[in-house]
Amino acid sequence: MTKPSLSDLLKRAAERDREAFRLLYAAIGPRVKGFVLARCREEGLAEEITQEVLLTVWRRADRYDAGRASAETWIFTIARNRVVDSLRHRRVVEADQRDPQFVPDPPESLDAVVDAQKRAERIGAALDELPEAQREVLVQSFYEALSYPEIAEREGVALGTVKSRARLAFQRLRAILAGEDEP
Amino acid sequence: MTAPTHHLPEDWLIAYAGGGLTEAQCVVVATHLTLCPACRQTLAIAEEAAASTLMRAEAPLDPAGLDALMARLDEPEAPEPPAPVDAVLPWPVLRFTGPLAGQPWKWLGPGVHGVDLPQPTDGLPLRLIRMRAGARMPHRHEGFESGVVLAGGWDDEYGTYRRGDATVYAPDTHPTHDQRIHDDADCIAIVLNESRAVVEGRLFGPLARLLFRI
Repeated sequence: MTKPSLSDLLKRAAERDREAFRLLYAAIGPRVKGFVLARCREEGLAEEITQEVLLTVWRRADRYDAGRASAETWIFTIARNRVVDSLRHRRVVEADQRDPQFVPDPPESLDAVVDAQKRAERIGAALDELPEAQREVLVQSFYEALSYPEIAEREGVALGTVKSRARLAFQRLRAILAGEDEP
Repeated sequence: MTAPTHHLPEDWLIAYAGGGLTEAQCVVVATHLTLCPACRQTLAIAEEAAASTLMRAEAPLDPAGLDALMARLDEPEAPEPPAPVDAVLPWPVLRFTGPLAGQPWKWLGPGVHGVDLPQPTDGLPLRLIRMRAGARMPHRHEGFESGVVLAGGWDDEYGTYRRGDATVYAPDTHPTHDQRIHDDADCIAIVLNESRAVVEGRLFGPLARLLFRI
């Protein structure tokens, strides 16, 4: 029997399938906690936040849109928001598709919709292709949620350089992705 | 509506993906994202990259955690606040301000009114600004200014701005701002000022510096 994908488990959880949710918890829980623990460095709090994240995943599973993000990334954004809320006491304000002012994607982009799961895998591979210094700047900007001035101070380089390195790394990432999109 | 032509810098979207922006900056970003499919596409890539770098390491879960969680699945959830509706303001702004009609506009200077957003917690002046149709408001930037046009628009030395356009003005690259509001309608924008703009021009002088707190 093939292992069900996160995306399948999430769909079944949206239909209130508790067994699927147990499997989802086992599949992604340890990585959610790994991320949370790296941010808060406190075992008990990390466990508590992880539980809250997974409870939110259960409650909002019906809002997951497989065309927009991989299941892993959707769960990551919930974890990110919860971490910022719990540790920084501020909210990550987000755009919401239910907003009457939300401008929908143009129809032509529907033809170009790739499976979000496949795109996530390609992005992972593209990250590995980046030069190490560029990948490091990206990972730092993501991972530690350091402000750019902090990175610049630690690395002893100018702020403008850090920003442009992050942009450059990201553009390279997009170029690698675009190249792979060609037939 | 045409798609926005002025976008957020990619480093803002990278920082947003990692959870590194302040709440006030998030309001600006989320407002633009609501109105800009292209930047949502860029953010989707940044978030996939963030997830793939951040959720690599595993930490063992508390063995008692799963049962505790399963027992909570039927807990009633606090009801979501009712979805607000406004003909102009997107939710990231509307949830802080309430509807555009009935805002307690304060006079900030000739042709300019503003309302401070009460909620974001960073202590930075995040404001809804209303600028009169046809007004001309040259000023200088001493700090970083960002925002999103929500109605009407303007021309300045950097281009033409309309609903949905993101404005990111840095003092080193955009020191002056010769803002000419379009004639057809008042302009509404959400603006985050990391220090006050200073009005330029001999007609204004020190008094206007006090008046133009934009």
